[in-house]
Amino acid sequence: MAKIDFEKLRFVVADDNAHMRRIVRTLLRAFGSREIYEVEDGAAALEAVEHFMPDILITDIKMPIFDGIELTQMIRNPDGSKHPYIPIIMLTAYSERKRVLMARDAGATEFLCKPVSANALYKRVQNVIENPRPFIKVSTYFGPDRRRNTDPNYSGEERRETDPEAFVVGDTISI
Amino acid sequence: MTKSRFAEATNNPDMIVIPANTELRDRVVTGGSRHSAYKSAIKAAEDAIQDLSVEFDDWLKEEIERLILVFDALKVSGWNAKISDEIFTISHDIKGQATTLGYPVITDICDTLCHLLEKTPDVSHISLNVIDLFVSSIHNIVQQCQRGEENKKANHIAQSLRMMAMKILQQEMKRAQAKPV
Repeated sequence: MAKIDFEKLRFVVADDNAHMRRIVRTLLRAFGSREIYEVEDGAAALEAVEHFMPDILITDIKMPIFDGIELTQMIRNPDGSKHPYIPIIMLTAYSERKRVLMARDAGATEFLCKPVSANALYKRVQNVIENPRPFIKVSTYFGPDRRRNTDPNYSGEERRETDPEAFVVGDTISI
Repeated sequence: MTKSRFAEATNNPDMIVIPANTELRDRVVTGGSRHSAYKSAIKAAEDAIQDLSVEFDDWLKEEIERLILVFDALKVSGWNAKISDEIFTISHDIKGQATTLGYPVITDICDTLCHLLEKTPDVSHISLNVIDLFVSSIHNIVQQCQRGEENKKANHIAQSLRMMAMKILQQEMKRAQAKPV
């Protein structure tokens, strides 16, 4: 049995909407976090990530200057980024499968659809902390392993490149 | 056949597997009851949101004011890329917040509006009367405080707007397909 000490966690929250940032900040503070840095665009988010070296980045997709997908791609650059392994939670009102896959392929760790609830946010944070995934580096991708469940006894066909459904876990959209 | 990521990597010289970093877990996961910590964190968060909720109506009204202002600009200038992007952005913002702010039906209506703006091949074909219907419905629902999912009238409006949007979208898709290349 173990619990998460939120007081030791440092967050950057990137969202161009001030109300949304306030809601996320309120939730994180209620969980116990004290170090929460808020930014309102992708460029400021990248700067904050490199300056404050947060433990977790929570970012919207649709933001000015560059969006959450581009931000994630810049952070997941093992040669140029100062913090390429940071867990990234993509928090967005986009729920279409296309966006989820774009976020996953950019290197996002978790995807959370708005409206945000205390329960959903807590679980995403808990998951990135308690179940860190290995990182995969290939010529076309650098980021957390996009396969969440690797079954050592699996003997079926290789679906990784041909079957996008392989990434749907249970009844939730998962990346 | 998949054995493990590490086994795969040995057969794929292009692939490097970097073991999961547990530094964060080691630093912030402490002893104590996981379940009670979770329950008290959720309770504290829900209470905090409840305290914040006195501001929610004002927040939503602010967002709707933004939407009305852009719609007024649209009426003057007609469709252009900047205006359609602004209407989409504000509707998308409202969609993301409205349920938290107590108006799930507004989330539904803005979802429909975003879908219409995003999927219509040429937004300039969307009549301003259609956008007006969306904007005024959102405004009226909030003005009349028709909160919650159970509100029949608001839900009926949301459903009618969705059906109308789907019809327009179908027509516009057909029109785009019929257009000579």
